Amino acid sequence: MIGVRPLAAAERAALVDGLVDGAAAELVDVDGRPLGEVSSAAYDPATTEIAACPYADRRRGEPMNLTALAQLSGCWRALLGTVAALAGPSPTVHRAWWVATTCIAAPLVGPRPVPVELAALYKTALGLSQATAALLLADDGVADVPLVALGDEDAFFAFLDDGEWLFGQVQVCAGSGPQIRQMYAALAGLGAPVGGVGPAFAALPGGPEIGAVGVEVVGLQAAYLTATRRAVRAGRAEGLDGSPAERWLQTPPPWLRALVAVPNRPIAHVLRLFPAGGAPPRVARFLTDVAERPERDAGDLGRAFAEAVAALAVRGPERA
Amino acid sequence: MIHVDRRKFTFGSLFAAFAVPAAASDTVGRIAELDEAPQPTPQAQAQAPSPYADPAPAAAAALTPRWTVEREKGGIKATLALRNDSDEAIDLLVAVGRRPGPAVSAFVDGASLEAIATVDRRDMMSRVGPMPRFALVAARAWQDVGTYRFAAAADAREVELRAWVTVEDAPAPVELVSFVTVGAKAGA
Repeated sequence: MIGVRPLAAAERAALVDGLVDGAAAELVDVDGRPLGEVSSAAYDPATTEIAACPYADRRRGEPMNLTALAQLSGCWRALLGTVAALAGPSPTVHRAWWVATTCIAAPLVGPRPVPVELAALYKTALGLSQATAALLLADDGVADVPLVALGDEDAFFAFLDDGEWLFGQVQVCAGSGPQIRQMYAALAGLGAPVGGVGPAFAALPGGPEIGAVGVEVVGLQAAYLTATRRAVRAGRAEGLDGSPAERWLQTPPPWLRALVAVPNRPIAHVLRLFPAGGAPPRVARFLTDVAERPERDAGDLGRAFAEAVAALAVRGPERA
Repeated sequence: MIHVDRRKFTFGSLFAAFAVPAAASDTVGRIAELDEAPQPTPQAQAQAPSPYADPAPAAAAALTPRWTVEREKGGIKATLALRNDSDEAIDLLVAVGRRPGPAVSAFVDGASLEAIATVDRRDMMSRVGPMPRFALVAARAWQDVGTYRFAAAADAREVELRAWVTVEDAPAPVELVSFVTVGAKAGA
């Protein structure tokens, strides 16, 4: 069983606020490293060893963060065990995205400074969240498909390598090919890795509730951002200044990048993140409200988003 | 009973679908969409088009480029911003993965310069994958686009810069041509 107890109200509020604000990237772990590494304002090149990537794939020769790799490698079995436990048997593509979102959100309810295991889980999951979101948003019906039906470990690695998913603006992913394949196997339910949930994750409150809250926050963010983009595009930008949407339109959080990669994306695409008929009720209501009142401006949408996330923080996820 | 879609999805098919944005005509249940315009292919359009292709007239997308060109060791660094000269907001392709969205070629005295493919712009996350990024640019507003580097002789005085810019709903990438004086060395 994961989760020593349910989330307290203050913990749920911290989780919601942290995802909305993108706060996890600036949290510091017990080694003094920011979870966001090079994307964090606190990143210190003096304490980071960078090397030319030695792997025999497209990344070869590009700079990679050896210090972060050492962190991940030190608790690798715990990471695989946590991911596999969260994924469960025969996980769908939606479940894989749910797992990645849970791992991104987990440090927000954990101790300070953040245990290395949770910091490493965050770093691993951030890339997975982008890739799985992109897969979900590519077409209708992907959410209900078993992840393993898309391909095996080698097919997954080829997808990442061929598409340059392992490249960043400054550094490349430091995980080796075998590590990436092992992580996919854990995520896809392909055999149980030795060992169970990592101790730091097991000690967190909430367990699966972290994921339920996390995907609802991301669903609301996606609905709000998509609707606001369309409103601004149609000349209804009043109220945009200073809003989260204004910030995200310029620099979307990593887990929303796939959403804004399509200009003027239909709002209904947000439902692709969830199983058929399985979107959180608040997300479905937000989308229905947008469709029924298309004249609303950016300010109206911002207020609706704020009300929805506040209700989630106070009352928790609703049952479908 | 839950209906499970039996289409054959693979990583390859979904990646290909992702690279070509979906048409804006999807509807699900009661949620009706407002816009059914087809979407362009951002990744294909981010590459320099054939010199024999006719680009769309610059007026079709109403853009003004602003270049800053600095000399640095081994060549030049050219930074691009674009102004939306129209009366409406536009969706401008500003990045494809880690690369700036517009394709740019540089020439000195008619000779093309070799591009130096480096990125010095930090983003929020260390990995960005292959995804295109469209910036919503307000009417009459400027948008920073990116930095390009080219190998050039130390005595290069003026550089011709040709940028092919993708704007959503434009029939083709817009070609913008600029002649820019090379400034002082960066940091001098």
